Amino acid sequence: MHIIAKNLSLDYPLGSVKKSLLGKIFSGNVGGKIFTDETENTYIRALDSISFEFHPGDRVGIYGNNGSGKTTLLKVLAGIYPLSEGTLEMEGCVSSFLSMNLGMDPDLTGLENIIFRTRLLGMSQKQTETVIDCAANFSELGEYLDLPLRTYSNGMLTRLSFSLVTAFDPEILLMDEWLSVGDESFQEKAQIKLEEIFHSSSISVIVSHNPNMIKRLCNKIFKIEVGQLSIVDE
Amino acid sequence: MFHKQFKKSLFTLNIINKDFFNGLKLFYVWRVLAWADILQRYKRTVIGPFWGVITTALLLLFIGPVYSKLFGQNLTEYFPYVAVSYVIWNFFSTLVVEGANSLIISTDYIKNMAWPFSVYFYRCVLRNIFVLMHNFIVLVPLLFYFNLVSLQGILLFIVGLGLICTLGFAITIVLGILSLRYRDIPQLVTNLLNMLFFLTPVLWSVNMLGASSWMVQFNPVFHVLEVLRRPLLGGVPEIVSYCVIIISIFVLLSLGFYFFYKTKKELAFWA
Repeated sequence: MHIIAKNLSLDYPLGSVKKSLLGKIFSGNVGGKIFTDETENTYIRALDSISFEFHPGDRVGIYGNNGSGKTTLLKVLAGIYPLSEGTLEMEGCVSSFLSMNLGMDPDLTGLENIIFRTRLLGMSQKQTETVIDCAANFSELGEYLDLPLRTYSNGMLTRLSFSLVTAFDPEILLMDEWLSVGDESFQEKAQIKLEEIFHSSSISVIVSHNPNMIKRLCNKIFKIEVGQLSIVDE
Repeated sequence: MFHKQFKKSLFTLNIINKDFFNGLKLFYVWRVLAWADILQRYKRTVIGPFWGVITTALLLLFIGPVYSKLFGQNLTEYFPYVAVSYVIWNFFSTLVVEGANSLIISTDYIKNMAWPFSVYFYRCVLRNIFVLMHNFIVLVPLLFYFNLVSLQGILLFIVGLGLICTLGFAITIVLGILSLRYRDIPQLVTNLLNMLFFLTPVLWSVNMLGASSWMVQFNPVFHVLEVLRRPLLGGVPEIVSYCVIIISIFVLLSLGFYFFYKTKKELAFWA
């Protein structure tokens, strides 16, 4: 099981974009470099020649500012965005849910939402029951699981979705800012849970804008800036 | 040179094959999504999808008698004709409009899940088959009442349904991909279909055109209707209709696969 990337680049196509004068004068430092090719199509170089090797036991943390390419990198690893250049070799079963709230229906109850997720993953009745137990226990939502999601507060919603995404244990775990969730007591619990699944899944990759969090949890730390990855600590 | 060409086309086939075959294997995903789509439409109602059935039943109850008078037709002949035609028109036109929206409504999943794109095409077709099956709750008693049910009819209908679903699938791929890039297309398709409703023999029948009845042959949707409604009304579709459908399937499916091959790398970015 491993993830190996060599000179991986990703150009995000924007179609034809008119650039304003203002944008040209104040070149910002948010996001990847924007460039236009000979056919007048504009792209963002979201990932710029990235190379790395992740092996079992690696708890990879990547931090960077808004628009630095964190989520794009995860989406490439998840197989959602195709590469523009370079190679990516992935071996192992990748976690499926990048977004915590994907497919959640406010008119279904908490329980129905859990079942919907497990069905999307093609789980058997028995596996579904395990997931339900796991998520119900961890979220501590109790009777609220039988109420529609629209009756939940934001905090309760994140409790549910966090409990749900962490109820599956894949070989390769990809996480996008799953850390800032819930109230204080839940945060503590969430941290412990994260550490637990970090150790149980073979390779975990987590991205966040918060370097402290990552430094505490991970043993392989990278910084991403304007689509370029640099190693901070190993 | 030839060898290189051959290798390239094999590679093309492989990409298409991989997506559409792997998508087929994810049956459990698109079944769940298709059914969830239907429930979503009628959320917080008590009888859920049966509202669709009631809508169809009510409409037919009023259209039947009124239009049979309007067109001077015999009610026992006109009523089953218009009922079957209307349900099938609805099935096909909705499939086309939703086909155009198949990828647009799936952008959340496209941007977050690494499923093959074909999952969303299958989802669209299956959802419309579910709706058609619901409407059969209205049609079946009606067909029995007018004594139009036969084994031959049922078999021919199943063949027709298979063909039209394949055609709908091909249209879904073509329009789904184009619409994801050019968001004006679903609007255009909706408009065209509204117009086609009046140009296609749904409420009126071909023989009302008299000497000009040959004109309908040039309307492809007419053949779609014929392949499905003739068997249900105790007749047999013309060979011409089957030919038009099969040729359309071939052309549109090839076009769809070509579009897919050309755009596969960009679809996720357009979503």
